[in-house]
Amino acid sequence: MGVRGTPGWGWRGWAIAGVCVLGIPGAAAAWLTVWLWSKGTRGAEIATVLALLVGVLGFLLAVLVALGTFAGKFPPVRRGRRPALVGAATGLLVVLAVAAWFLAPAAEGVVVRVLGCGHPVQLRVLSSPEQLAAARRLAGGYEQWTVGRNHGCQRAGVHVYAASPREVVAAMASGWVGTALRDVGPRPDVWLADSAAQVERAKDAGRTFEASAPFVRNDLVAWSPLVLGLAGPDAAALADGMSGLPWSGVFDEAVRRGWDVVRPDPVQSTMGQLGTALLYGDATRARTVEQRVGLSLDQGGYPIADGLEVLCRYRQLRPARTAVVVSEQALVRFNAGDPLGGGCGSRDDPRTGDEVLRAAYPSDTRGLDLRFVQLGWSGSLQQREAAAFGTWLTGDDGRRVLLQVGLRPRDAPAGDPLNERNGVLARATFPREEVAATVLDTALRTYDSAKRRGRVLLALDGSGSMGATAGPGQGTRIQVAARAVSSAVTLMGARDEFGLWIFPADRGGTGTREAVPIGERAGLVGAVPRPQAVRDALDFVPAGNTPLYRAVVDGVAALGPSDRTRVSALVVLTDGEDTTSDLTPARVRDEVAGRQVRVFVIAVGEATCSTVALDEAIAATSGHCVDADLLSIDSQLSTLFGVLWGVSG
Amino acid sequence: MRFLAWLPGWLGRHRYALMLADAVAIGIVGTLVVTSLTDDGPVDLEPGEIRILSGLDSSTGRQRQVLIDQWNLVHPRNKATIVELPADADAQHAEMVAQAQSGEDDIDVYNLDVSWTAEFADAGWIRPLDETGLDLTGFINEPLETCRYDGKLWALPFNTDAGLLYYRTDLLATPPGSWKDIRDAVDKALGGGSTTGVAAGYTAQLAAYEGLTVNALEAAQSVVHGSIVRNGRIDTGVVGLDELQEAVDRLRPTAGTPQFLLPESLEYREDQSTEAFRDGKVLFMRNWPVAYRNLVQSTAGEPTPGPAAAAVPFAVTALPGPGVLGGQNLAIAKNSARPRAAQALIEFLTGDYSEQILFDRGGFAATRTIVYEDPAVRRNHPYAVTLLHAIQLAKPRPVTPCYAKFSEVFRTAVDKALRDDERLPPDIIDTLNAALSNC
Repeated sequence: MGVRGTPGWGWRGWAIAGVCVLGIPGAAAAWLTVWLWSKGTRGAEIATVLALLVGVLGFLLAVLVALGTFAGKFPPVRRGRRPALVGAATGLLVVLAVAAWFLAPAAEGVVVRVLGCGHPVQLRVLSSPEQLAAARRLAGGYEQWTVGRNHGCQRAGVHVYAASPREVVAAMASGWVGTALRDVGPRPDVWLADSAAQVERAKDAGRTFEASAPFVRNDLVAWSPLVLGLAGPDAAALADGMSGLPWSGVFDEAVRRGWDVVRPDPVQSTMGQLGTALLYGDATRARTVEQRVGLSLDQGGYPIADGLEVLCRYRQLRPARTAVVVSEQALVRFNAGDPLGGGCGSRDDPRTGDEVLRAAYPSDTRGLDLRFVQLGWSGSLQQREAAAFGTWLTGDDGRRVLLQVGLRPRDAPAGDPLNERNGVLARATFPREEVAATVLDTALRTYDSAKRRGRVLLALDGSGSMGATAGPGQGTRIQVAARAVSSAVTLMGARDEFGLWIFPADRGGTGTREAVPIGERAGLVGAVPRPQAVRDALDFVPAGNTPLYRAVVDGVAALGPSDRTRVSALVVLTDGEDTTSDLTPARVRDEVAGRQVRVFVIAVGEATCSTVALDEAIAATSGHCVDADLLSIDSQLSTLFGVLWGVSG
Repeated sequence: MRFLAWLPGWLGRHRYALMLADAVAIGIVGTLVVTSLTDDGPVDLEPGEIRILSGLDSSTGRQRQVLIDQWNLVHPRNKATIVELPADADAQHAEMVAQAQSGEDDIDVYNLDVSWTAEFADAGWIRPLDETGLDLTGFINEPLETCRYDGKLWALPFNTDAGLLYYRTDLLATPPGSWKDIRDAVDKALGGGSTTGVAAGYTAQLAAYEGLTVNALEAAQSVVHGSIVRNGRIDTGVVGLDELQEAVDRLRPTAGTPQFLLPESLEYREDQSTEAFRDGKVLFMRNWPVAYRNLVQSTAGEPTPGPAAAAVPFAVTALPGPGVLGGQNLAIAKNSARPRAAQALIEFLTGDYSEQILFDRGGFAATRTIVYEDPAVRRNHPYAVTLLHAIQLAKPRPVTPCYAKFSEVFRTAVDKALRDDERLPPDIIDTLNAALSNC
């Protein structure tokens, strides 16, 4: 091949050509390998082996060419052709690199077709109970989106679950280990937080306990303003009278016209917290607001619960003149007949005519700001997928689903279903500014002092089964319960009241006994302070049967009704079925209904909230039941007493 | 003694060598003595803590922790800790998969639901067990088979489960053996008019969750008298659209009197169906064995009335067809830094002694035959023999890495057919096959 008078390329030329031509398949295979591994596609291991084989083969051939050239086995290339050959080789390299870039997805498609889909990357997404349904739709939308872009394979598997604001703060503070994993849920890769204030609180708690969660990303995703929902024939007139008024004026106007006003519980609900801050305006109005809202909740039999449960009761009740403080998003879901959870778990007919809850937008209203928060304590696969979820959520496809679930996406105009048919004004304006955590915390402290005092009677199961072991190192069930009760009683405010009953009354196994009479924290029991008297009374040996229904009926009768100044509640902690009361479920329901006392039950061990009598007693008194693990009695009691006594910490 | 006359001189000449030999011998013996006194298991177990990722321990008295405490007592170099997850199976699955995908070595042992074993093995998140010297003969075969995938043994069965049929002994003389028997018994007991408090014949767990998948699979298995999935695909040789439709129809609420299915069953999980049975609303209930203990209130400190004296007198029998196998398997995490220690722990937790504790005190169905043969166990738990029989008849859920997808697709179709009173879609077999093979 040599040309006379022109020395050849020599070994370097042949070596370059060899590497270019023979090494390129290796490079392409290596690229495919990296691509498949990065996406977690099945077959990445096979591609790796292929890449190594081809790469090694290419390298060996290149070495052979070089050695052959040294040994003079290959004729030199004419110098005149060197630039052309180098250019051709470089061009080929570039063309093949570009081709590999574009062909990698197609190659991946072939691999998927042959070997099937890989395992989806698992994402754990935390939400609030109020946003759970919306978060699940967003997650479902994202999963489907990945199917369309991954050769028909689902790239992400998203598990969405909910925890209350208090649980989230406590779990974040602990670094999401230990009991947080068991009692709250998996350690989240993504937190769809209801507001920036929630995120701020979680960060603060982490700093306090030196176990801060690794916040990687915290982006605003969407808004939902707080509104006052009005329905019925008088709604239009009231709405006209409210036009241009701030929240304080709107509230006063509603009350002046004889309307009830209900609001989600600020301890359990983010929209309840924002509603509380807005309704108060200044702290001097707090007590008036709380008394009026408390009475409205009692009269309608509304639960002390989050916004969806309040709306669920509203759906069941269809009251004539009751205004509801909720987010615009929750109002749209209500009007559309979406499932609300709890007792409203199935789809309902959309509201029409006068039954549509119409949103009034007070002049000083503010919005909840839904956040996408990425947490960095998972592996790189999850981190990449979480980031991709965040990008999708803030892109066109994500915005479309955000709108479908009734939110106002950031940087996008509002449209269906935010329309007048669903009771809202797409053009409504409100300041797009986050409400600081300090503002909400101040409102909660004011709420604590202004709310009605809690008059609580705890009926504790002291039957023989409570003597069973709760687990290694835990002692008996009664000992676990005693520790939890002693701890929860410390949450009592100065104005709150507490009493303790134990059932059965004696070893005969019937009736109840008053261990500590109901009274204020400061009041002495005999000569002993009340918290100490409670601790002393809990030191007993459980025995006998379980007159559970009798304890419920007698406890409700003894408490006396809720009124403008107090909310009466019976809390029952039991581990078994009723065995000796001789009361039917219907009789229990009739005895407790209409007495303005709420019944709460914590069922542990063999007890269950599914028990008909308990279920009906709770429904008849707007109470609540929790099926609890023995080890979580502590947190369940603290949460419940926090709701009743207004502990906002 | 003249023949030993050379000894003193020899000892004197070799005194240093002898002193060295003495020192070596004392060292060896001392080491052996100290080792035997502080023995904490086979010397080749890698030292360090063993962490088990598991769902909430729902056994009576937290017997899993009791066993771990016992292990820790004799294995101070390999103390074990249970990292507990919520009772919700979906939450457990999400955390375990995320942990496995993270590539970290925080977890040594996964307590997997039987239906996830194939997924974890296929993905390479767990490692096969070392079968050298492993005696598997004591395990009940059916739960042990759920630990195998692709020809390898990936786990050992921790506890098992199989559905039972609960029936009212005050209204029925003999237990039913087939669906026809159940139907006939309902017609006979309720057909003549109202029987006090009894609203319908049958209840089960038909809310739209894993329980619906299990009940629908059991109904289908009762139609074809065997498993409906073979080699990762719907076995069209034994089941077609008509058979699946018949299975769904068996769970369908029907109008008229007497009502076969309690209509509320479409919202029921385990607890609610137990309560409905306890309240005397139905003649029959399909449920797991744990409902037995809840129905008789056999809790410490209170009289144990037994099934005959429970709120409603009842007994249990096998389902009218093969049930679906439940339970959990213990597997070693791929990234565990101490796989031999992890396997030793798994062998301890699934041994005869542990299985007896878990069943007798904790209420978990044991995976070893010998537990059910113990006279004391049979005396304390009269349903033990029936349960063993039900486990041996039961079929595993489809063994595929895509089980979660299959379950979701299957129960969604069944739920829609039940609620909307429709037929299953004509392409249901193809849809299920797609879900089984591609997730």
